[in-house]
Amino acid sequence: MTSTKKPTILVVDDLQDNLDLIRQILEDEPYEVITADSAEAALALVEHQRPDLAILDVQMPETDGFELCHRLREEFANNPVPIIFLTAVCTSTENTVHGLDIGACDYLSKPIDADELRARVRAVLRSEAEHELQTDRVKRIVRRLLKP
Amino acid sequence: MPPDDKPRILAVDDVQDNLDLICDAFEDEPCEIVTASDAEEALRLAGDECFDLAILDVQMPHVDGYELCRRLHAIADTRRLPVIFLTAHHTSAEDAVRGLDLGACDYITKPFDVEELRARVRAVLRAKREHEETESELKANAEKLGTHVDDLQDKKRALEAAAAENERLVAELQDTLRQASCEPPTHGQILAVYGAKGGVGQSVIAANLAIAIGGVTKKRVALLDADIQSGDVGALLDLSPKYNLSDLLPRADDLDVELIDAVLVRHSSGIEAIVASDGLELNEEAEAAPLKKTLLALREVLDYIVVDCSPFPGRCAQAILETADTALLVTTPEVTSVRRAQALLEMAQSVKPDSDMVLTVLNRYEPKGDMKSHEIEKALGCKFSAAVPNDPAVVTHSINEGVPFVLSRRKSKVSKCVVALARLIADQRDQSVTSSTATHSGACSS
Repeated sequence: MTSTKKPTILVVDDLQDNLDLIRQILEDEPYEVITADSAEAALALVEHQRPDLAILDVQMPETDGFELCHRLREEFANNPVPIIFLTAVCTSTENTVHGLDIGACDYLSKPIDADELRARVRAVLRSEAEHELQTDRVKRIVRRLLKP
Repeated sequence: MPPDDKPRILAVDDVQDNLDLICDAFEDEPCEIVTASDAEEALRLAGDECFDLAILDVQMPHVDGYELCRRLHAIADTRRLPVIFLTAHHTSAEDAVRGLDLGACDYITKPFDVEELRARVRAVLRAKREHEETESELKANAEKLGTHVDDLQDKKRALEAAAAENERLVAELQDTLRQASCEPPTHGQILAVYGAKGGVGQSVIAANLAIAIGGVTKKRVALLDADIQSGDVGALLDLSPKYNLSDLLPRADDLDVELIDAVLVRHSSGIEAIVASDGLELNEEAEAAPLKKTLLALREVLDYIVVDCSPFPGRCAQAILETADTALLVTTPEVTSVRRAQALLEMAQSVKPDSDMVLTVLNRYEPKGDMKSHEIEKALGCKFSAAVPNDPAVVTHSINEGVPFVLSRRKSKVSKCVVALARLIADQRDQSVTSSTATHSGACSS
C-alpha cells in the first residue's frame, strides 16, 4: 500500500445484502472495495489483487470464515493480509477468542456502528502503513546499495 | 521484542482495583504487566523501559487516557507503541472512533470478558511481533547486503588498483620491448680504405666508391681524407674547401652538427667530403685520438663515411681501423703490393676478427698478367670482393679531369666494378651483419 494508491479492502460474505452494506460503509472512505461471496472466490482474488485488508464473515456454507482465515495465513505467510472478522448476531466470547487467536487482528459483531467499523479499519490500515513505511525505508536503502 | 523475552505490558489506571483485575487476568499469560496509576508515572516508565503494549484507562484525573496516548505517540521511543483503550463506563461508538483515530489499535468497553481481553491483547502482540520480525529480518538482510556491498566495493577498488598497476606494468613492459625491438640507434657505417702500399690507387677507389655508394643507397655519404699528410681527395674531386680536417681535429672533444656541417663540403655528385689538411705537417701520433673521436662524431650525422686512410700502418691508420665497421684493403697484382697486403691483412684481421669486416679489392688487375687473381687470393687467404680491371685511359683521365670515373665514365668496366662493390657494401649493411661476405666471389669477377 503506497500513499498514491487507494488501499484495497476485500469483503467476504455469502450474503449479497451484507456485501452491499459493508461496501456502502467503506466506500465513504478512499478505499477500493472488492467482494467475494465464498472462500474460494476470496482466495482467488487475494492471489491476484493482494488486498491491504480482508473483512471476513464467519458463517459461510462450505468453507467458513475461520477456515478461510487459516488458509489466508498459510498461503500468504510471507506477506500476510490483515484480517477482521465481522460476524452475525449472537457471537460467543469463545468465537471471538478463537477468531483472534487464529490470526485476526479484530473481531466485530453485528450490528456494527458504521463509524466504528470505519475507525477500526483505519486503525488496522494505519498499523500496516506504519509497517510498510519501515520496510520501504529499508528497501530504499537496499536499492541504493544495489545501485551505487 | 526478542522472541525469548516475555512481552511487557504497561497498564495505566487511576483505580487500583482495575489494575489488580488486569494483573489477575494476565497472571497465567506469558507476559509481564507493569502498572502505573497516572499518566505522569506511565510516561516516566515508558521513557525508562521498553514495552510492547499499553492498556490505557480513558477516564483519569488530570491527564486522561486519550492525552496520554497522544503524548506517548509523540515521543520517538514510544511512537509505535500499540495502545488498547479500556474504558470503565458505558461509552458510545463516537468514543471508540475517537480512541481508535487517536492511534489506538483496539477499544474495549467494560465490563469486558477476561478471555476476550486476553485474546485481543494476544492479537495485538502477535501483529506487533510479526511486523517486527519482518522488519528486523529485512534490516538484517539489508545489513548483510551492506556488508557484502562494502566488501565488493573494497574488492572492486583492490581490483581496479591491481588493474591500474597491471596496466602500468604492461605499458612499462611495452616501452621496454619497444626500445629493445627498435633498431639499435643506427649510426653511420665507417668504411676504412687502405692501400697495401703507396700508389695502388686506394684514393681513386675510395673516391669512386663513396660516390657509387651515394648513388646506390641515396643516403648521406661522405668521403673523409684521412691521409693527413698527403691527401688526394681535394684534387680527385676537384674541391678546395675553406675548411678541412685540421679544423675539426683540435675540436674533436666537442664536435657538434653545425661544426661538422661547416667542414663538410658538398660535391656535385651529391656526396660530401672532408679534405685533408693541405700541405700541413701534422703529428701522426698526436692526431690518432682526435681522429677517432671525429669519426665517432661523424657517424652520428652521416650514413656512410668512406675514409681514405694513409698508406702505412701508423697510429692514425690503427685508430681508424678500430673505429671502422669495415676495412677495405686495396692491392695491386704485384709481388710487393701483395706482400704488403699480407702483412696489413693480418694486422686488420687481428683488430677485426670477423671476416665480414675486412674486404679486399684487387686494383689494376690484368687478367693476362703475371699474377692471376686466384693465385693472389690463395696467397692472401681470402677472396677479393672486387677485382677492378686496369684501365689507365679511363682512370688517369678522370684523375686529371678531377671528375671520378663513376660519374664521367659510367659504362666503363672500372665504373661497373666499383658500383658493384658499392652495392655489395650497401647490401651487407642492410642484411644482418652475420651474413658471410667472405664467401662472395668478387663483385666483378674477372
